[in-house]
Amino acid sequence: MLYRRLIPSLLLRRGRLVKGVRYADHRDAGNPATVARAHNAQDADELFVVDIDASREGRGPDMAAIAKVANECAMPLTVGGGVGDLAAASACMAVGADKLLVTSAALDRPSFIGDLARIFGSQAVVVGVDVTGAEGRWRLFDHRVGGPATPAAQDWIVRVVEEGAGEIRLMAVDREGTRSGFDLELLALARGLVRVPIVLEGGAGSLEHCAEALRAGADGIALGTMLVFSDYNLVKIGRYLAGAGQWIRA
Amino acid sequence: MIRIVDYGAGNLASVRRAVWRAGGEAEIASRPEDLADAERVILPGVGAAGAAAARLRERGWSDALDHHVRRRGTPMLGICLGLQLLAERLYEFGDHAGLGWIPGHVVAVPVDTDIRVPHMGWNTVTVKPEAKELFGSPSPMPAYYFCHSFMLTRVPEELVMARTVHGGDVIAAVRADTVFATQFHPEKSQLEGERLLGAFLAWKP
Amino acid sequence: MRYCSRCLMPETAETLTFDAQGVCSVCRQIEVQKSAIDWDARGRELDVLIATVRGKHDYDCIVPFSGGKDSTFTLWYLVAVKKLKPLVVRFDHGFMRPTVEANTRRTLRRLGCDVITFTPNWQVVRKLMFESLKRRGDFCWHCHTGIFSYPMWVSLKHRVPLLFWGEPSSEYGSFYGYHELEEADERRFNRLVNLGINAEDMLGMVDDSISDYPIEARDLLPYTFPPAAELRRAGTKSVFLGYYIPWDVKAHVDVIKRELGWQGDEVEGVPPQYDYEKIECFMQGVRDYLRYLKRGFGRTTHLVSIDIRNHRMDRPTGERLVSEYDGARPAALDLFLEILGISEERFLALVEPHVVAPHQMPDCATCRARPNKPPWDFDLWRQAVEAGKRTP
Repeated sequence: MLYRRLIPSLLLRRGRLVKGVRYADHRDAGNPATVARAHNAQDADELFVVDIDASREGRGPDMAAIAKVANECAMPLTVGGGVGDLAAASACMAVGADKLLVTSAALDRPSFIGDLARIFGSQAVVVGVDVTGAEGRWRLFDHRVGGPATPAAQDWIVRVVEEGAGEIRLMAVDREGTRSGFDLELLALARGLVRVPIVLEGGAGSLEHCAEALRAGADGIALGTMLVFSDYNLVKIGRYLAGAGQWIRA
Repeated sequence: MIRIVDYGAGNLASVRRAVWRAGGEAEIASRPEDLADAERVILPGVGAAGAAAARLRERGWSDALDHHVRRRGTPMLGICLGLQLLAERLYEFGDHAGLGWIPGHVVAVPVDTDIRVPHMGWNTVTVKPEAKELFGSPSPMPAYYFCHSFMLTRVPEELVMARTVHGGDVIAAVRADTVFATQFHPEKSQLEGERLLGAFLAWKP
Repeated sequence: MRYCSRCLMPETAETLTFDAQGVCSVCRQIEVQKSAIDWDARGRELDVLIATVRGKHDYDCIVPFSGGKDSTFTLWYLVAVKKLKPLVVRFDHGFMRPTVEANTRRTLRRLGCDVITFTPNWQVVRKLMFESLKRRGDFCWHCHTGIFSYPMWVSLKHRVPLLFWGEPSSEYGSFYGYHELEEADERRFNRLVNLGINAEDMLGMVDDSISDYPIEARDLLPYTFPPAAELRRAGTKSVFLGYYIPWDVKAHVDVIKRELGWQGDEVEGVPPQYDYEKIECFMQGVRDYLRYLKRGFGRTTHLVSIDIRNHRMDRPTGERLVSEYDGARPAALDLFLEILGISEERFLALVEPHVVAPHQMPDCATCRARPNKPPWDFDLWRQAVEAGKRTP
C-alpha cells in the first residue's frame, strides 16, 4: 500500500538554506548539499527545494546549488522558485531535479502547467498553491507582492489540475514557521476538489501535528521549521508516526 | 562498461550517481554506437511513452538495443519508461507502438475512489521468490518510489516478477531473458533501490 | 507519560516505540540478541575481516579511544585476544577527567600501542557548543562529530583502512537493528551522530553570540566527515566490535578491571554501583541534565533499564534509584555556564523549545533545589575552564 510521505522543505537563498516565519525573518539553516545529505541518510521520502528570491528577481533557480543537492538525493527532488519558462524547467531537470514546483509562473500563465506536463509528464509537475486566511475566508496568495492573488482559492485548485498538474503542494501561508499546526480545513477543501495527490505544508511544530495531518488524509506533509530549529528529525518523526498507527516508512 | 542510454528522456545524473552508490561506475551512451563496449545497459526514462518510443526509433536506439541486448544477450535494466517502452502498444496521448519486446499494453492507471493519480510515492512491492535475487535480497516488505500515471498491463504471468497495489494490481517489475525492468525508480529508492542496482551490477542472466 | 511495561524508559526517549504489550523497542531488540544471532558465525566473520588486514599496512587497524569502558575493552580485545597492531586515536573533547587519563596511560602502556591524540581549538569548541545547544538542545556536537570524523582522516592519512569502534547503537537505541551491519559510515554519521548538522552547515550558522573569535572552514575540518568517494577509494571499512561479539557491559568491565587495572569514577547523577559509566567527560552531568530537562529522564533511568532488561535488577529497585538520582542539578552546570558566559535563566530558555511532549520542563527554582555535591575532582575541572578564559 502506498505510504504517506514526510518531505523536508528547504528554502534556498544566495547559496545557503534559510528558514523563517511567514515568508519573512530568515535565519541560516545550513549548507544545501550537506542538509540534503543528512535528510537522505535519514530516509526522507522526498525533498522540496525552493529558491525564494528567484521569482522576485526574475530568474530561474540557483542551478549550482540545485546540482549539488541533487547529487545527495537518492530520493525524489522537487525544485521550485523561478521555474518560469521551459528553459528554466529543462535546466532544473538536467541538473538532477525529478519534479518541478511552479507557483508564481502558473498564476501568470496557467497554460504553462500544460506545457510542462506535455514535455515532462504531469507526474513531474507540482503546482504550488499558497493560501492565506482561514476557513470560509481563504484567499490565494502571491508571495511576490505579499498579498492576495486574483482567482478564488477553490477555483484555482481545480484549474491547475485541469491544466495538467500531477500534484499540489498546498501551503497555508499564515501558519508557516509558526509551529501552530497544519491547516486541516484547507486540506479537506482541496481533497474534495481534486483527485491528484496533495502535499500539505505550513505550521508543523509537533509530532501530533504530523499525525493529525496524515489522519486527515494528506498524501504527504512538508516540514520546514520543525526540522531546522529543533532536535526533531525524520527518523524520530517517522518512528513516532508509525508507532501511532500511521502508514509511513520507518 | 555500464552504459546509460541518453535518448532525451531521463534523469541520467541520478541513475549514474545511484550506480556509483551501489558500487559500480556507469557512463552515458549518447549515441547508439556507444553501446558497442557495454557490458550492461540501463534504459531510464520519464515523460510521455509515445514520444519517447518515437525518439528511440528515430535516433537508431531501437535497432542498437535490439542488437546488443536481445541478440548479444547484454543484461539490461529498464526504469519506468524503460519498462513501458518494452510493450507492444502504448495508449498514452494516442496509440503508439512500443519496442514490442514483451507482450503488453500501457494504459492509464484506472481512477478509483480510494486512490489518487498519478501513482506517486513509496509503495510496497510483493516480489516473487524467483525474483528475490534480481532485487538484491530485499527486506520482507520492500518499498520503492513510483511516479507514473500510466501502467503496463496484459503481460504474460511468467514474465511478471513483482507487483504493487494502487487501487488494483500494478505490475512493478518484469523479466524477459536478459532484460529486467521496473516501473518504480530504484535510483530514487534509497537503500532498497541501491540493493537492486547492486544486484543488477552482478547479474548473470 | 507512558513508560515501557518492562524497563523504565519513557515514550520521550529517542526513536523508542511501544508494541501492543507496552514493551519498548529496545527491550524487544535485546530479545533478538539473545535468541536470533549466530554469534559463532559472526566470530568467523571477524576473523575473515582481520585476515584481510593483518600485517598488510603500517597498522592493522585504527581504534578510536576515549578511555571509557567500551573503547578500553575494544582495544584490549583486539590487542590481547586477536593480537592486532592498532593505531590508537584519541579525540580530546576538552572535558577529560584525571581518572580516565590515568586509566588511559595505564591501558596504553600495558597493552603497548602507538597513540595519536588530537585536541581541537578550544575557542572554536566554545562557539560550537553554544550553536549546537541553541539548535538542538544538545551542546555536544563538536564531540560527536569530532570523535567520528577525526579518526577517519587519520585512517586516510596513514593508509590504514580498517577502523574498529566498540558498542553498536542497537545496544541503546533503535536507529539500527541487530541484524543490520552498522558501519560508522557517512549514512550513520548523518543519521545518528551529527544531529543532522554537518560542518559546512555549522560554518554559516555559528555567530558571535558568545565570542567574536573568527571561524573559517578549515577550523571545522576536525568535525567534517571525509568525502564518501575518498573513503571508497581507500577501501575504508569502519565497523563495530559489538556486531561480531555479544556486548555484555558488566562482563567487559570485569575484564578491564582485572586485566588493565581500569578504575571507575564518581559520576554525577548516577548511583555509585555504576562507577564504570561515562567517566571520560566532566560535562556528562550537564549532558544528562539536558536530557532530563527535555525528556524527563536521566542516565539512571537508562542504566537501570539495561539492568532490568538483562534480569539483573527488578523494576521497583530501579524506580527507587531513578527517583533518588535522576534530575539533580549537576555541579558541572556552573562551569558550563561560565564557558559560554550565559546565565542559568538564559540556558533554560534555550532548552525550553526542545522539550519533548508530553514532558514539561521544571522551572529554574525547582531545578536549583536539588543540587549534586561536586565530585572529588571538581576543582581540576574548574582549573581547565579557567585556563580557557580570554578575559580575566
